Amino acid sequence: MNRNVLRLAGASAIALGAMISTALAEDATALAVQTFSDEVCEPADPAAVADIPSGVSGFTGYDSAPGAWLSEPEASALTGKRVALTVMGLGQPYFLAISGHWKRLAEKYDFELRVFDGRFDAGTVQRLVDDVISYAPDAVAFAPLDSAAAVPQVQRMKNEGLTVVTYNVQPAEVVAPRVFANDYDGPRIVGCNAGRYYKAKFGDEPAIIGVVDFPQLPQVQDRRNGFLYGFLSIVPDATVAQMVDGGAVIDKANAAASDMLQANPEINVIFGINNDSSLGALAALRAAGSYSSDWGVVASVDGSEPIMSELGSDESPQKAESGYPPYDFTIATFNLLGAAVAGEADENTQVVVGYPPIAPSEDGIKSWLDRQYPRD
Amino acid sequence: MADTDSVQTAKPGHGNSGFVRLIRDGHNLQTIATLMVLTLMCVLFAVLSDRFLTASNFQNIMRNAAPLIIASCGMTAVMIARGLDLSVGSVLAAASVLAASLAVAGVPLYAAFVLGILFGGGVGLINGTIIAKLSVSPIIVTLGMLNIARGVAYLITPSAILVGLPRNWSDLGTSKLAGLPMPIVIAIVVACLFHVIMSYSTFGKRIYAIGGNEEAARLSGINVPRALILLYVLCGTTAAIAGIVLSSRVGAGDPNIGVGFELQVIAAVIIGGTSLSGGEGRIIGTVIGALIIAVLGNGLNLAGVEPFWQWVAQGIVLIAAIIIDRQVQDGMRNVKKG
Repeated sequence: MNRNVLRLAGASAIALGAMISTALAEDATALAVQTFSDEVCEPADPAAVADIPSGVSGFTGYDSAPGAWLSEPEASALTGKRVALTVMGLGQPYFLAISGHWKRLAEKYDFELRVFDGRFDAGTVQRLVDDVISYAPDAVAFAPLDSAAAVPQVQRMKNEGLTVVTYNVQPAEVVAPRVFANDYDGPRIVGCNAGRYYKAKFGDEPAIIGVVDFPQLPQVQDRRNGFLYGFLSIVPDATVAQMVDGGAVIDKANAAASDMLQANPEINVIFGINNDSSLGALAALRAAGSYSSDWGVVASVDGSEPIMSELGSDESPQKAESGYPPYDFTIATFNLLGAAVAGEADENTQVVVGYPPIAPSEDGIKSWLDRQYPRD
Repeated sequence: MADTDSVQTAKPGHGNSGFVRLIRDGHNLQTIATLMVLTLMCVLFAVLSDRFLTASNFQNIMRNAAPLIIASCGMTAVMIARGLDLSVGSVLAAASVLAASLAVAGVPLYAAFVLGILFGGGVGLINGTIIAKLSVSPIIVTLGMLNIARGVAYLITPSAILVGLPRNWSDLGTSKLAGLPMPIVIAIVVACLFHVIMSYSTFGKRIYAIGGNEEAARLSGINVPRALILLYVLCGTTAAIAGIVLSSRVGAGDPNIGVGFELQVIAAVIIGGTSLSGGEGRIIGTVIGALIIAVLGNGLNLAGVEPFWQWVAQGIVLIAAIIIDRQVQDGMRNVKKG
C-alpha cells in the first residue's frame, strides 16, 4: 500500500516536473518572440562596445544604387543570352538555393545558364575563372572566395570582354558592379535579439560568451564582431570566454564546441558564425546533457532549413537567427547583371542586401523559408 | 609477418627484467614509445589547463576520437598490406547521408544504419577489386573514389543538409552503455575485433605477409587479390561505421562532414607505428595515434591557444611526436642491447 502511494507520488512528481519543464520551455519560445525586433539596438553603455572592431568588408559603404533590385522584372536584358553563375560551393544549402533560384529564373526569362562550382577551394576558383572564359558567356555572376584574389580574377574576365557582376563576398577593390550584404549590422541585430532574450530569461545572471568561429575570412570576422556589438549593447557586462575555430563545417564545429564547453563550463551564450557552427554547438550541448532552453542561448546567422527546426523548437536553446538570404541575393544579382548587360550599371554600381532577422514564431519561420528556401 | 615473429620473441624468462623483456619485442617498443608521447602530451596539457584532467573531458576526448579510431582500424590493416585508402572521408560522408536519407524516408533506424554500412563495404569492394584485379595503384583508385563518393553524398541530399531526421537518430551518438558513451563502446569493439583479426587470425598473418613481400606471399600460396579485396571492404565498412557514429553525434545528415578526414586517419596510423612501406603495424598503436591527434586538438582548445597558432602547433607537435617516438625507440633498443 505504502509502496503504491510512494509510486503514485513519484509518478505525480515526475509528471509535474515534466509539465513545469514543458511550460518553461514554451515560455522560452514565447519570450524569444516577445523580445524579437528587426531593428538595430544602440549600446546601453558605449564603453562596453568601445573595443569591438568595426566592419571591414563594406569599404565602399552600405548604400544601394536606386532601383527595384529585389523584385522580379517584366522583362530582362539577359533573355536569349548565355550566363555563367559561379558559386563558392554547392555543398552548402545557401549556394544550392542560389543555384536553384537561378535555374528557375533561366526558365522564366529564357536564357542559357551554366553553373560553376568553386568547392570552397581557392585553386578550384582560380581554374574555374579559366573555364568561364572558355565558355565565353555574355554575362557572369561571380562569387569570389577571397576578396583580394577576386580583383585579378574579375579583371581577367573583363579583359576577355565578359560582363561581370560579383555577389556575396565583395572584392577588395572596385572592379565590377557588386551585390553584397552588410555583414556587420545583420549579425548585430542577432546580437541585439539574443541579448534581449537573455536578459528577459536569465535576468542578472552573468552572460559568458563562446564563439564558434572561422577566423580565416574577414566577412566572418564582421559577423562575429557585429554579434558581439549587438549583444554587449544590451548586456554590457557580458564577457567573452573563448573563440574556437569550428572550420564552418558541422563535424569540426562540433568537436571545437565540445572542447570550448569543457574548457569553459560557465559559458551560457554561444554564437555560431554560420548554421553549421551553431548546429555543431547544439550537438555538443546535446552530448554534454545540457541541451535545453534553460541552459542559455545559442544564436547564429544563415537561416538555412536545418536551423529553422531548432529555432522553432521549444526545447532548443537556439533562440536568435538572422538570415543570409539566397533569393534576395539571386534576384538582386540577376537584376544588376541585366542592368550591366544593358549598359545601365558600371563598376561603381552596388546593391546591398539585408540580413533579415527571422522571428522565432511559426509564421516568421514559414515566411522566411517560403521566400528564400522554397521546396519544389 | 613481423608481428608473428614478435609474438615468438616476446617470451618470458631468460633472467632479464620485465621491462627489458617487454622491449625485446620491436612492436612493443614502438607502442611504448607512442604511449610515452601521448602521456607527455597529457601531462603538458594538464599543466596548461585545469580542465584537462577531468572525467568529463576524458569522455569528450574519447567521443571525438571514436570515429577516428574506428576508421583508422580499417586503414591500419590496409596500410600493413602496403595499400592506402584515400576515400575514407568521402565514404564516411556518403554512407552517413545515405543512412540519414533512408531514415527520413521511413526505413527503420537500425536497418538504415546497416544499409549505410553495407554501402561503405560496397565502395570498398569496388576499390579492392580494381586495385587487386586490375593492378591499378591504390592511390589513384581511392583518389578517384574520394571524388565519386563525395559526389554521391551531395546527390543523395536534396538540400545539402538533411532535415526531418527521426528523433532517435542521435541516440547512437549520445546514449551510454554501462556508463560509457556509445561511440566509445563502438570504437572499443571495433578496435578489439581488428586486434584479434590482425594478431591472432590466419587472415591477419597473411596481411602482414603480403605487406612484407607480396611476391613471396603469392608464391607461398596466399590468394593475394582476395585478401586485398577483403581488406578494402573492411576499410570501407569501418569508414561507414565512423560516418554513422559521427552523423548520429552531430544529429544531422550532412554531405560536408569528413572533408580532410582521410589525412587525419593516415596520420593516426603512421603515428601509431604502421610503416608506409607495409608489413609492420599494430591496432593498439593506431588507437594511441588517434588519441594523440584527439588530445592535441582538445588540449590546444582547452589551453586557449589562438586558432591560427593551433594550426602551427598541431604541425609542430605531430612532427615532434614522430621524432620523439623514433628517439625513444632508439634509446630502448640500446637498453635492449645492453
